[in-house]
Order: sequence, then C-alpha cells, then structure tokens
Amino acid sequence: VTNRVAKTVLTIAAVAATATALVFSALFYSAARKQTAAAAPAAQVDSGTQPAPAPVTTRTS
Amino acid sequence: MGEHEHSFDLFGTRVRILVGTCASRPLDAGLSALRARARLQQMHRDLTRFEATSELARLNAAAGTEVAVSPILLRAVQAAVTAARRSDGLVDPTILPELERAGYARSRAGQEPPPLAAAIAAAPARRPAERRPASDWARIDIDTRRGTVRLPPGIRIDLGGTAKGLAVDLAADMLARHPSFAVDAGGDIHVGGTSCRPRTVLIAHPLDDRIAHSFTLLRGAVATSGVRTRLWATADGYAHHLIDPARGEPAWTGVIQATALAPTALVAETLAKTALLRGSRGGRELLARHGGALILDDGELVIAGDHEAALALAR
Repeated sequence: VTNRVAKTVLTIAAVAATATALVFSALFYSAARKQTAAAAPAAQVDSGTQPAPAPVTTRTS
Repeated sequence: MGEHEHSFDLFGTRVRILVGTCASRPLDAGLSALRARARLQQMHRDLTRFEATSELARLNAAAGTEVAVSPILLRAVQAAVTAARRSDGLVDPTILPELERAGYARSRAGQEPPPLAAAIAAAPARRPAERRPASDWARIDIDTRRGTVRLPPGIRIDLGGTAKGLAVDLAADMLARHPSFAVDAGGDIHVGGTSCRPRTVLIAHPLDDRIAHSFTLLRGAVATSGVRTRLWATADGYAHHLIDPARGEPAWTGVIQATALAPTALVAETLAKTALLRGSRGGRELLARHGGALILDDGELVIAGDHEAALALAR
C-alpha cells in the first residue's frame, strides 16, 4: 500500500512538474517573441541603417 | 551608429574624412579613413610644387626632355591639360611664373590673409579673365603607353587645384563601399556611400564666414574657388592666386567666390575656378548645368542652376 501511495504521489508530482515546465516554457517563449519583435528595429540599425550624415562646409581654401 | 571623423592638415588646408560606421565592423571606418589619408599624403608629396624633391619639381626641372613619370603624376598632368581644354584655357597649368611673380612662390599655409573687404576696395576695374593667345599647355606631350611626359622647353607647371580635386576623387573611390563617406579637402568635397542618405552641404560666405547657402547632395562633388584665403598684400595693393592667363596678373572679375557641383571633385574644381575667372555673367551660364553659386564682390549671392541637380547626380 505504501509503495502504491508513493508511486501515485510521485506520478502526480511528475505530472505537476511537467505541466509547470510547459507553462513556464510557453510564458518564456511568448516573452521572448515579444522581446524579439521589440528589438527588430534596433537589429536593423545595427545592420546598416545610418543617421543623417554630418554636414560639410565648402569655402575658399 | 554614426560617422568616424579623421582630420589633418594637407594641401595647405584642413582635410576632413568622414566614414560611416557599421556595427558589425566597428574598426573598419577608422582603418579606411587612415588608408585614404595615406593616399592623399602620398599624392601631396608627389604633386606639390613647394618641395624641390617632389616628382612634379623634378619634371619641371627637366622641361624640354621626355621624363618617365609615376602613374599618379601622369594622371595629374592629364587632368591639368583636360582642365585647361575644358575651361578654354582659363585654368592654365603653365601660369606658374606669373603666379610666382605675383608673390606666390612659397606655400602660404598658415599665413593669415589681409581683410578681403580691403582688397576688394583697392582692386582694379573688374573684367573677365581671358585665355592666352598661345596655349603652352596644349604643347605638353603625354605618352600614356610609355608613361612619359615632356613639358615644352622653358615651361613649368602648377597642378594646384586640379591635383587636389583628383586626390579627393581617388580617396573617395577608396571609401565607396561604406554606408556613407565625405572627403573634404578645404572645400573640395566628394560625398557618397551605399546608404543613399543625402548630406547637407553648407557654403561659407567669404566676407564674414556666415552660411550663405545650403543644399543636400546624395552623391557627387562640390568645390569652391575664391580669392579670400590665398590673398596677400603687395607694394601696389593686393594679389591672389587666381591668375588671368592673358594678362598674367591676379584676376578681378567681380566674383570673389564660386561654388560648383559636378560628378567629381576634379570637374567641380575646374568649373568653380573657370566660373570665377569668367565673371558674373559667364560664370552663371557655366554653372547652370550642374548647379552652383557665385558670390560677387559686393557680397551678393547668385544661385546658378538648380541645386536639385545635386540629387540627380547620383541617378
């Protein structure tokens, strides 16, 4: 009886741990997607988008 | 993100190199600027008339004989002759004796010029410059196959502004792969880059250094020629470095500064100098095609052509 109770408890604990891991994975994935989407413009800047070039002055030299 | 800036003194003026940085290769812009600087310095060493050891000085000393020259001197002499032809003899590389007689035998870098307004007040009657009846520049023999140049006997040349324009263009070629770049050698400017972002260009007024005009340039060149900086007092009044070839004296045409746009700094430099030498009317006509600006000796700004042409240069 004790073994059966222990097995049941362990099974419930494993299921709960798996479910918790799945929930946290889903939350993490969702947050990561949001972060990636928010970071997209910055990545574009890093890949070559430039600010307006600095002005130059022409004069008699 | 921004532009790496590198500046130094050369060609008797301040040179400024701007190169757009790229996050994936942060050191690239600085290294490219240093390479462009080394190129400009080498060209200056070869093409200056102020150093007896320069390759140009050796060519001048050997006038009348055929001389084997470096590819860069060959190209610079070709550029000077082309500028003379395009300007109908006004931008004449053979006016060196007249330039020296006017008082420009040594570099004037770092020397403070007298007030421009005083020189304008004392200047003789204004008239357009004219070409010489005999064009010595047309008798310069250039053999590109053998890499030789032969100056006519007794003729010495000054490569001056054309050499500077050519140097700016060659440095610009080295920077073309960067997102943005500008090579500015004392007003001779070549801009461009792969990002296709227009750059603001300001024209400084020669009388008070305020900004007289501004426009944007996507890709191409702008050059300014004028009497303000290479100006000095003489026993008779004032002289400057823009010589009227026919009279052999500094030109007072009523224009004290000309700015020209063109696809290259070499062409822009030639156009600007020619426009100033032709005077107000002829200069305005000349600059109409690519765009430009004149400043007359009363301080008035005259816009020639359409600066939107500047953006069209890249298309």
